[in-house]
Amino acid sequence: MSSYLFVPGNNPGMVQSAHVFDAKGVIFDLEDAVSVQDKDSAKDLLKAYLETAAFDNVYIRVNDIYDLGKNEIEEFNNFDISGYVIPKANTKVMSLVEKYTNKSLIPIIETPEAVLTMKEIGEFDNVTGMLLGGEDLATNIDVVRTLDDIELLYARHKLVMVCAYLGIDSIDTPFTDTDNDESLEESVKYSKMIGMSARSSIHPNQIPIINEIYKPTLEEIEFATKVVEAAKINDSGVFSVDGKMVDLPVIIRAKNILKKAKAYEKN
Amino acid sequence: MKIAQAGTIESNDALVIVSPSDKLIVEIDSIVFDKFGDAINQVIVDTLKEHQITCKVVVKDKGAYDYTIKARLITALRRAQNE
Repeated sequence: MSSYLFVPGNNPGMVQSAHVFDAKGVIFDLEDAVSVQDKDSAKDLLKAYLETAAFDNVYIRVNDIYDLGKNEIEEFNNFDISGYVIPKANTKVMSLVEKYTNKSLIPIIETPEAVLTMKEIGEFDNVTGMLLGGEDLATNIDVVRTLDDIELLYARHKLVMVCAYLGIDSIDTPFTDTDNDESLEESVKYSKMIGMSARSSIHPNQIPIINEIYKPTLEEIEFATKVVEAAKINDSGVFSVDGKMVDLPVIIRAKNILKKAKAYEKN
Repeated sequence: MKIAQAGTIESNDALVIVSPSDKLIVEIDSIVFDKFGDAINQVIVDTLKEHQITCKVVVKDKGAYDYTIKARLITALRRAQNE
């Protein structure tokens, strides 16, 4: 699966059903989705929930590390969660977070500083992925979000390159127009096309759409199978399948597609 | 201890109100009282025992799971002691 679902931490109805959606990861949100007066009750709700439930790939988006975030990390360290999503990440924030936990970290790239220092942020030990925070980034560069996210072009492409270089997940920003499935599809297709390894979402209805787009198509699987089979009997470095040139990078890509297809089959 | 509350009357949630009292009083208004009234009462009694607090608790339940009721009570108790 290639989707991450944000779930408001103070909404019991959504918290209790978070595990039924086919998301690769669930991010329980203590930050933007929770009002200031309910920060305490969201934390209590998540703790009580996590004492009774266990499922894989659970993350908590904590608050600003200089505000409530530090205590939240320390309080959830004893729970069976994968890790934390870190807002307003920069190298100073990450060096602090690193002192508070050994769990997996997903910093959010949502400031111009973070875009420019993405590689340094991603190089911290427990970082397993980086997530683009499109709304905040747009605000920070004083632009309005558009449906095709043209204003985020540089940040999105840079995130893909940096994460691929570091071998970690590149997670694209949520598509916030929840009533516009058509534009969501276009946007997710673009995420996949440029190499984002996953897309985040703020609504469970978006998860099947994201998963379906990221799932290798029958055509891709058939071609990849032909390539891998042909590679087994072909000694020369370069050969042809269905009139297309095949060399080592194409073989590697074909193997990756089959690996992804198998992962989807299991789910 | 002061009067304090936590939670909402949204579906799957519970509004829990705590107030000072010398003896334990639990009032439950639930859409599933006939089936789960005793279980809700038990969650309240157990949580108060864990926190060694005696007070009055009013629960307006909209189908919340046990852990939600427990969480809302814990928040209300903390708010009652802090505010």
